[in-house]
Amino acid sequence: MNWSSDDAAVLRRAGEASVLILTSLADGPKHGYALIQDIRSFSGHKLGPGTLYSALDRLEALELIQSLPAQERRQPYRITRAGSEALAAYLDSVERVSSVGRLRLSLGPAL
Amino acid sequence: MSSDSRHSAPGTHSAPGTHSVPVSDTSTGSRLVRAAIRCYPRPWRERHGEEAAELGRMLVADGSPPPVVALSYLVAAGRERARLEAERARLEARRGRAAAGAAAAALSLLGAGTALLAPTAQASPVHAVQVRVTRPADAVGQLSAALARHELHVSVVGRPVAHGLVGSVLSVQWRLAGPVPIGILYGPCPTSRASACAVGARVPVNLAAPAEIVVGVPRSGEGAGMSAGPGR
Repeated sequence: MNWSSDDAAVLRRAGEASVLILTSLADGPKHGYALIQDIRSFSGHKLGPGTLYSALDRLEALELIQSLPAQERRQPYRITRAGSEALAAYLDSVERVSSVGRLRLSLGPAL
Repeated sequence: MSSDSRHSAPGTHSAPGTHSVPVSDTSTGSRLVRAAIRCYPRPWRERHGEEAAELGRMLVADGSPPPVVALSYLVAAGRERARLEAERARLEARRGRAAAGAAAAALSLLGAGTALLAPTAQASPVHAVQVRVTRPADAVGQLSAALARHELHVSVVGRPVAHGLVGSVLSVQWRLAGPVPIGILYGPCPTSRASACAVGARVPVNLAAPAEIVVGVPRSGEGAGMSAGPGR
């Protein structure tokens, strides 16, 4: 049986916004506005603030991110070790699917 | 923080590290956003309210239409309220079951016997078995024992995870193609302060193929090791 990675499964259930947020936090802590801007710059997705907070709550509940002390009225978040592991596992699984898909479509390797 | 130096607030010319936002709190857009944020449940507002209002102001100053920002908050507020309601209903149902159990035990002690309770238990035919983790450190043993009692061919394996995921159902797999017939049950998290975690599974009694449930167990050195022993 080809078992999937459990870390990847956890993140897959958490949703696309969660993946985008973890990816954004992978290069350092950010607060909400910085997250939205960064995610828009690297993915083209413009996360709504409501979606953002729902995903942040979910990720914090899973201990994949951690809130840092607030700076004025901005709450920064950082990725945890478990979050980094979950993101890496998820990206690996996506890459495997992507490779197979590209091969079957004769698209060649991704850039 | 790295993000502060790279992402200054829109429409501001403040020095690095400062956070002045010149968007008026009394503007119509700001009032609209604040009204949407007030739709969130109180616990959420106490935790995120000020920060969410600040973010709303920054997004509006950055060119996002206030109704769009407000609508995003409004939809998420509805979801948050629905989630809380569902959680409350689950807790009340659990309390009800506990109370019924206590009443049954009391009746039994008083000599009334359990025969009186049998019709209630048989009122709804069982098509699926629900198993829940109540002892996170022994989630593997507990689920294995519960499933074995019903002669279900489901193996339970533990995977070392971070403390907050100990006792949570991580994934469900089975050997046939098509959707997995095993449902995941959600409830209050056993080992973290989060409000909802995957804490159990609903397994059809007529499961057609062997399946596997993966649950989080403590990493070595972080608590009790995983156990495949029987439950209580």
